[in-house]
Amino acid sequence: MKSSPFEGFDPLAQSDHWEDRTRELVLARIEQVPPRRFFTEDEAQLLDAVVDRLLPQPDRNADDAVPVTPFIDQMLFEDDTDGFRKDGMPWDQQVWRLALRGFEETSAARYGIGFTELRNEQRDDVLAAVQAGEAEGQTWREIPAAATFDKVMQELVEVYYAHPAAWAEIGWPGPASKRGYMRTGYGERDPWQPKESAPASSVPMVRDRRAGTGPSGSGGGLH
Amino acid sequence: MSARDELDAVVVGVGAAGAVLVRKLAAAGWRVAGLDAGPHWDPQTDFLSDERAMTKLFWRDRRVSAGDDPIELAGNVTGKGVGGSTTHYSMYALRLHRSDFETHTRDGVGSDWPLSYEDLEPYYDEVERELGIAGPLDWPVGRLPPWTLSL
Ligand SMILES: Cc1cc2nc3c(=O)[nH]c(=O)nc-3n(C[C@H](O)[C@H](O)[C@H](O)COP(=O)(O)OP(=O)(O)OC[C@H]3O[C@@H](n4cnc5c(N)ncnc54)[C@H](O)[C@@H]3O)c2cc1C
Repeated sequence: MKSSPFEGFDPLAQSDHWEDRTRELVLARIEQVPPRRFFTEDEAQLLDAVVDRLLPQPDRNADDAVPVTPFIDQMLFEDDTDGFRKDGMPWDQQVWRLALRGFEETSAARYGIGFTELRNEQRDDVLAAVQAGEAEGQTWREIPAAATFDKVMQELVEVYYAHPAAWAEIGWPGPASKRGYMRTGYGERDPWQPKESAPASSVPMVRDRRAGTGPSGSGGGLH
Repeated sequence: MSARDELDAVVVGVGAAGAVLVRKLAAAGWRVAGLDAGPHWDPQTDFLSDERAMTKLFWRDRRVSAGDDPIELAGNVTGKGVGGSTTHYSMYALRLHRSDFETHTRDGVGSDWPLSYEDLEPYYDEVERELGIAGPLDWPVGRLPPWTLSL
């Protein structure tokens, strides 16, 4: 991506160093995009349009774009979900169908047309309204809009960042096993890790963490 | 062992607690079986260096969280399979502080434990030796020896 501070970096160039089974898995993720089995064609198109605003990929052409909708479809079709719901929320399959219906209702209420027909600013307006829990539509009286948005966003992000193109964008060289990281101090990097060509958003994050506000040690809140 | 064998004990759930119980009972001469809802993973063949693929370690059976402030049960909060949550935990092994056992007496919050640090100390020693826990010599609570790992 043009906007990436790691331009030209390709994690797949390192894939010889990955364990065989991990490499097969990651390559399959690129080469065998799952077929549509859960969503209807209309729903899939609508979700594509939502993804296009929540995780825009303006610098990639269609062939290079990270496919997100197909992996959500696979997760729901195979019931490969986290199996958990909060009281008042339906199970995941239903949440996703309702969410898409809700996006349609809110765009109809605000603009009189379907979400896929909206201009980008209008799409963003609809999505922001859902995120803020201020969206119009019968669906949002059945399920809470803000919580639904959070769930949708989180699962889209999980799919997106499982793809090597997204790793390239953030300068992540892919699976550490079996090679492992040797140079782990602040500012240190192993020879196969990419160097930022420009300041990146990770810099303030590191600064925060040094000041003791961010997570330390292992990932996030759970240790 | 066959399905017809008579056993002294069956442990349901072979996570951190259940697995230790199975081992302790077996070492004491009991005939014991451990049952787990999930598989007996083989890290050599089942573990991949990929976060999305490894969600298979998590407990993902259907469950509902309710109440005034329902907690998040998604993600890597428990494990399903022999080893339980220890199949994907972080392997920090920290002793409680002495004061943790009597927060009510000392600070007026929570409740005191019915056990003291001294009661638990021999078990800390044992499990640390068994897990090969290493740490700095100047650790503030008890002993945390820099064990030599023999792998
Ligand atoms: C991401 C993460 C990181 C952690 N990091 C640390 C750490 O660094 N240090 C630390 O000390 N602790 C850590 N923990 C906590 C620690 O792993 C748990 O406290 C511990 O494993 C709990 O032990 P347990 O035996 O109670 O349950 P578990 O280890 O979760 O085992 C429960 C077992 O019971 C089985 N089971 C459940 N229901 C049934 C049923 N109906 N029939 C059959 N089997 C069943 C499950 O499949 C599972 O194997 C971490 C936990 C997580 C999730």
